[in-house]
Amino acid sequence: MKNELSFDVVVIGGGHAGCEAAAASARLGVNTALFTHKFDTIGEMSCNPAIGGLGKGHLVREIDALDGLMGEVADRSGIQFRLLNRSRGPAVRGPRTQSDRSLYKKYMQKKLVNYCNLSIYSDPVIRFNFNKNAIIGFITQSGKEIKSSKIILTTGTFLNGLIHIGEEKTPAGRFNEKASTGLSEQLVKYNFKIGRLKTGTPPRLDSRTINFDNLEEQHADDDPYFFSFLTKKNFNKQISCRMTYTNSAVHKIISKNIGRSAMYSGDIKGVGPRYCPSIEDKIKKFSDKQRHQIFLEPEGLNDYTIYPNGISTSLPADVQQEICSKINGLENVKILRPGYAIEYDFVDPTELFLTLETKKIKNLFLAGQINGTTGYEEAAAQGLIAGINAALSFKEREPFILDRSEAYIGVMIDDLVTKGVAEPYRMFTSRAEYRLSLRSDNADIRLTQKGIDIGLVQKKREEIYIEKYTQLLKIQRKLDNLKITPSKVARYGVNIAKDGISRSANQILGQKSVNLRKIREIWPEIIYVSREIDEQLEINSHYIGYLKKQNADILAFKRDENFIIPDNIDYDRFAGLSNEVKSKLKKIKPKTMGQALRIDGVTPAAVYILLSHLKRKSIKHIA
Amino acid sequence: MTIYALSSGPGIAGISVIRVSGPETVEVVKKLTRKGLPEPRVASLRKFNKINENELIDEGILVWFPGPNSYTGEDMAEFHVHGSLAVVDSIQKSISKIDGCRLAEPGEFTKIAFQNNKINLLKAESISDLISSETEIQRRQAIKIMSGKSADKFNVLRKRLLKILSNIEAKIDFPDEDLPEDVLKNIHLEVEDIKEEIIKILNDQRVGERIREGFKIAIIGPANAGKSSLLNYLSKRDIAIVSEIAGTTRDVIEAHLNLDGYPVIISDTAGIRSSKDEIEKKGIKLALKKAENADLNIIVIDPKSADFTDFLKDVKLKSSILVINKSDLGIKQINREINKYDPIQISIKEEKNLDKLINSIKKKLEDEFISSEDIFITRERHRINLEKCVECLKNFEEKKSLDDFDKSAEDLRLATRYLGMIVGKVDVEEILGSIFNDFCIGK
Repeated sequence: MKNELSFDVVVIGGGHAGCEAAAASARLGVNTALFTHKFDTIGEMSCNPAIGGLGKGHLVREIDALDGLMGEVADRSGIQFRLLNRSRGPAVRGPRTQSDRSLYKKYMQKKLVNYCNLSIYSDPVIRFNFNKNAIIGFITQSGKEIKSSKIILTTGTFLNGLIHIGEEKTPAGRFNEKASTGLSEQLVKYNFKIGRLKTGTPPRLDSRTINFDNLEEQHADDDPYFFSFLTKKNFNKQISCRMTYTNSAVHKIISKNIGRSAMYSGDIKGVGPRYCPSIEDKIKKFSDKQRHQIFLEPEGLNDYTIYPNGISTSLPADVQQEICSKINGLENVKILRPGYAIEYDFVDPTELFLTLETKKIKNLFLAGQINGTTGYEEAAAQGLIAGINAALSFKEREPFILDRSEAYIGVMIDDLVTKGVAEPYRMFTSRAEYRLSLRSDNADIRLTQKGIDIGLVQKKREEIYIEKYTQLLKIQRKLDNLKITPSKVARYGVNIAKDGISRSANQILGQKSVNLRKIREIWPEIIYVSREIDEQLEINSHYIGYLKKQNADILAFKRDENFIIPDNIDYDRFAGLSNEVKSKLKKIKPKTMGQALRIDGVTPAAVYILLSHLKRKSIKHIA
Repeated sequence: MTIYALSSGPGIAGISVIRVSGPETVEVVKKLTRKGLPEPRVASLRKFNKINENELIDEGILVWFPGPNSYTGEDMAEFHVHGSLAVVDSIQKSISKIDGCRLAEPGEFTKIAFQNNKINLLKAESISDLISSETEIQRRQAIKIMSGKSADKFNVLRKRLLKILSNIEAKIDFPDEDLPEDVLKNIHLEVEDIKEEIIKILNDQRVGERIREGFKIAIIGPANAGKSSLLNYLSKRDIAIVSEIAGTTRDVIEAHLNLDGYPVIISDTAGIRSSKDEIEKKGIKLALKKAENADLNIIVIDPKSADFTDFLKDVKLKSSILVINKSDLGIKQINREINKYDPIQISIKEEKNLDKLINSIKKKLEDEFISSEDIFITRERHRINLEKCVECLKNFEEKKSLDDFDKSAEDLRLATRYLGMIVGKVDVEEILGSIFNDFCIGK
């Protein structure tokens, strides 16, 4: 029958998670399809038109290091590149850019359309098909019956989405788009823990009605720092953002109308993020603050829409207009579309394995906002991991897991899966224990080889990476091997303790105010390859002492991870392990504790029991 | 998993208590008593029966503690039975037949309480210290820590560090935010203040550890002065071999004692003399080392050993008591040099003046170590973490340039983590929570 199609991996949803998931699966060479409501909204930036920032920028660099899409697409559409925290040390530098919304979408769609092994359908999913505890396919609106070995669900806020503008309520996913109802109920039947969250957006403004004359300007960086390791030049004209502020008149209007805000009238049950509060929240909770800043962010080069970042709200449209007209520069502003709050269902991510496959339904993977996260970058990173693991699982290969010491992606997924979420989860650098190691500059060194090993990285990137890594290693070895005495190096103006002990070039490079140019004065034989490599080497030696300490920590962390399970272990003698777990362990015979933990159905509790039996002596000392 | 164990001491007793904790507790109670649950936290008389057999084991008191308001935070029950080996054995056997029940490992109830956040790590440790306390001052110390004195202190310090850290982290993670100008002001002063306070805590002569582990006392002196006899007397046992032959003791012999409320570890050592015997020479070397590491030395000499003054000059370390044994020999004339050290004349043989010696030991320990200052550290683990914390704070203070912002944040994160490890608290959510409470974040 023509209406039946079959795939290895199907991704449902064309947002940031869906795009990366579909692309990753296709890169691994399995027959992949992407199903979405509407082709035109693939890669839509539904909230603010920006990519990156602290933590988020790190995620994008990591996605790029694994040959994902987001970095390159953001670079192609970037119209205001800024490296945040440029002066606060390399580990906390966060790349960010404003993106042209239509360019972003355009390049994302272009990339996906040209991907091998990937077909795209715009046909909403209306019902899942299950076989016992496994998902096997779904029915679409046009009546197609799809069969697929693995299914990745990336439906964002579309599960039972409800938009609030003041007292008005409209079921919807994004503005003017239908919410997916019914799918949530199907998941509920499998006893998934479903929670409710909310998020908000500000009104969109018409730039032609704004008076920018007296507003502070925030410029783009002169030398843009790109997301992708492949991007070498800037593509677009760079623009500025303007800043304005709320004032006491605005605060008064908000206070007066607070009862009409959906958030305060008790209409909204979902929990919102603390770091992205509505303007109502800001004024309520920080009433002593005289003003709140607003960034006026253009949505594109040829777009009159302005995103006023800082005043997300669920007040009625007329109040929004009243507020805006009291703000400096916005006196005569025309609101193109009112701001709104949206409530949506999410699946408690503790229902997932580290591969992002659900524990209760086999072959079903979840990625993105549906797991309780917020942000394009967080969604994309999960999409990448779900896509990789769905494809690997189809090929019956070992899962691909990044741990907390390897990547921000690892930190995020570990947080989600082990702790769950209480508010929309956003990445921060403070969440990473090994922050000094997990930098945006070394994302490729940390991850690209891992990607190459599983066949995820395409030829072009592989060649560029291998070339860079080889050169880097060569110079690094030289720096370690070349030695100099304190008195000799003093002749070059570098003063270190005159203890007669020779230092390596690398140790000299680690001194304050020494860079590779200085090093080359001393040792001209150290070749120059690129600024990128020089920077990498300088940063490495900048952290030399800390990384040594941190590596010791990482080793301790990995000790449990790599705790060897003896071959002759008798699982039957462990009380407390379920028969299902016992039979799985007996069948798979994991070699390490980490591997045991990653077996489907083996819970952390089971691993804890194993660990405590194997390490019995060492845990007894706790009283 | 539900765990059970005999919680009172093993052996025959008037009453024995068997404790059960875990999800199957209700099942255990119902099956053993063949009745419903008794009123919570009230002693109820019940008959305890074998499982699946129609036979009474014993009659006793049952107390039912529904979770989470129990010691472990889980459902718990206590069976108070007659303290017979057979009764206890039979009850335990019956419980073991219920699915999901197993014998607890040592300390497991407390471990579960810790895991369920009922107690912090310090309290868990002090409970174990209280259980194993043998002397009055050990008990007093354990109960002080258990009541949260140290935990409060460390938590307050940690909260202050967390506050500073959250200001720094806010600067890092929210660079575009309109944070108050002065978030980084006074941070260095505050760090210095915290550092000084921790150094003060560290500067406690290790009294807490000493009380927990016992004060180290070395008995030293010339050969055949009666050192081993003194050890035997103090420990009320024949631990060391005593003989008339000089140089009988060669190795170090140690005994843990409760010296009138004071926990001590007394070491008897080889007599000091010039010897050609290799083994004896090694023993003497060991003796001198013991003396060096001891909290208190008891130097025992013989009234005839008038020429021992040179040695005394060497050994007269931080703290010691000079004892002249064998007062029964009736030698009245004591070398004037020796008299300077205010010796105590005793006779172990006739048990003379020994109470005076014990009082003198107690007084010395008290003067030296027990001050009115509060003691917060009872374990090496606490000390190491505090020392590491101070080291990180020092690293933080050394960094002045903005370029090193991420590194100085790292110093503070580590400092906070080390402090948290003492109470068993390490959580990034707390930092984020503090940021969001203090600053209006969000563009």
